Amino acid sequence: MIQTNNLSHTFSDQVRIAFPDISVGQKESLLILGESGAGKTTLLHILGGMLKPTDGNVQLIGENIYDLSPRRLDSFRGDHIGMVFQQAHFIPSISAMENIQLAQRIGSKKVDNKAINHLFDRLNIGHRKNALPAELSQGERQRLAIARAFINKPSLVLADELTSALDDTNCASVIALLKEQSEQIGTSLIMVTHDQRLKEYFANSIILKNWNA
Amino acid sequence: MSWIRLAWKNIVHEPLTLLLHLMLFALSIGLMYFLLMLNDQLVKKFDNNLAEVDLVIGAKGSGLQMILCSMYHVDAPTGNISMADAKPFLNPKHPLIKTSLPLSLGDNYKGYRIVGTEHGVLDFYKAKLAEGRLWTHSLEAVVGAEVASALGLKIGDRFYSSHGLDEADDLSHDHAALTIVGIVAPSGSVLDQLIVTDTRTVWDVHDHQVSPSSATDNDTHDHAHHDHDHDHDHDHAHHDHDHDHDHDHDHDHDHDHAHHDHNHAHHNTASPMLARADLIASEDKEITSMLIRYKNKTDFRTLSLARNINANTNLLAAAPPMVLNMLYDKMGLGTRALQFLALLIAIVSGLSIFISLFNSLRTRKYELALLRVTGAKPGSLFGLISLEGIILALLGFIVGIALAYLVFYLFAGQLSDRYHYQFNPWVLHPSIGWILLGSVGIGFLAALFPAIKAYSMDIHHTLSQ
Repeated sequence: MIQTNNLSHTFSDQVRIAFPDISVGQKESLLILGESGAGKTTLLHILGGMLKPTDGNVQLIGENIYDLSPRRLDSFRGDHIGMVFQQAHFIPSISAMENIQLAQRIGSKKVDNKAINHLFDRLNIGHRKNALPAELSQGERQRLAIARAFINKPSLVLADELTSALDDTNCASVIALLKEQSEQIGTSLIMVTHDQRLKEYFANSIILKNWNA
Repeated sequence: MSWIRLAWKNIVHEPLTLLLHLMLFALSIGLMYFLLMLNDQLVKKFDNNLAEVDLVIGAKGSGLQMILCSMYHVDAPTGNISMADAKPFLNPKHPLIKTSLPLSLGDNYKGYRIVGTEHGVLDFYKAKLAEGRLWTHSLEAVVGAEVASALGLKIGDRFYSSHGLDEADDLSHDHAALTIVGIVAPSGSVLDQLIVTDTRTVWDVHDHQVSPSSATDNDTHDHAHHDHDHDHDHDHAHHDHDHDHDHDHDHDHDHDHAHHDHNHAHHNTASPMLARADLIASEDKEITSMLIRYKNKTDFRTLSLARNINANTNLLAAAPPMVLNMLYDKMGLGTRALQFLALLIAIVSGLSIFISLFNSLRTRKYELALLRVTGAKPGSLFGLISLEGIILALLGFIVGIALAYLVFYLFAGQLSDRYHYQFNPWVLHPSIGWILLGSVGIGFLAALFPAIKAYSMDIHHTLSQ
């Protein structure tokens, strides 16, 4: 479903990072491990259509995403890519439910409250749907972020350092949630992290070498 | 969840910031709109009552005061003028004067001024009778539409006038009741709020000359705290007596007629209204002022008439358009200063919106970046921030306009109570569209730079921080 070829990125200070080719099929998952400064976030942003690589290309569901116009790329990202970050940011002035409705609307989808409620129930945050993000616990916020990443049934979900601050139990729980959602929706899942614990949850993994070393 | 709803939610999420912006913006818009409404209605009131009067002649003093008193009935007279002095200008054969109208002021009924004049007053203000007739005798009066409506007066009603131009029951001329014989149709002019009668009425009331047609059946009356200095010397304390007397009007002397009953001996014949010739012949009497219309406004003798009167007579002559223009200039200066202040507040308010939005971008950059991640286009973020600025300004506009109407309503009530001038607070000023546009413009401009920042946000850079 997602395929990269000869990806590399050169920063403004002329530092160049080359990335290994990646190929992840539907319902498959991949763990990208690397120390700080290995270029994990840069790769994640390239895969998410947020940073155009200096060289190479990213193919998602048959589209070379950087051949798309910026406007089309924005829509494409909304429709086909979901992202979850370690720090979950939401619009603080609207409820958990409204945050997800907004993501649906931006992703060119009709607001489907039934689907949102269903997802909330599966993530065990149905009882908190009317709470403001600031009123949610860290765990609830993380599950809300997962809900936002999956609500538009994307082709690819990218997760960035999602478990670094979690204990083993919560870490296992979050990974289970992510994998379960990916399975159900048929999404490809790529997680970038420096958290070595995750190796046991992923069959496929690659390690990014620190370009600074 | 539309962008407008999201912008609204973002605004109300910070109620204190919202309150600050609203207060500033509403204050500026409210002040600006209030001044525009007030200025507009004041100028219209003045213009409506110009009545094509070219010159006002009265006693020496302030020209503005004389015009405000004689034409707008909001100030005290500069004094009285003798008929001997006024006579030439009331002469129908005056070579330069087309029409002249004598005015005698000094009394009121429940705060509404009573003006002794001639029938021509209705033509001056292009007014018509709604019902009844014009006076034919002394002590017959015609009331303006607003007076009739405010006091519930109708034809045949009788009332006692009070001395002075403001309501004061203890200065009532209880000896002479005026009878309403006509009601003027609303004309939008000062006539609506006047009680007009024959000049002779004013003279008779102050001279205690009462016609039998108008005298009360029971002439028992109370002269409590009258200011009149009577020529006669008598003890009024609690006894009835008949007398026939003339009173000189020296209002500087107090004369206590407290709590006494006395019957006035009346003239046995009704006093007919004064013809112009009779008026002119009454050289020992006084009037307050005269309204003059010229025959030919461009005649050089006409142009120098006011100057000649001021230089060579005991009288004061002032041209309303000239005096009003000076007044508008003075008013305009004040109005412009206040409008400038309002504009300044609007700019400060716009700046506060700008600073608030700009600062909020720092804390909101991740949420905005996340919106981009979920597919929001740069234009959508630009629109969101712009909408927040515009909605804030629109709220300020709505509150400001509501505030202006509220203050104008209270102000109009005050003016009505004090001067009986009716201002309509519930009219839309034509500038409201421009003010709305200006408000939206300020809101948009205040949000423009923050919106551009949001538009050009680099998602990768922001999320990497």
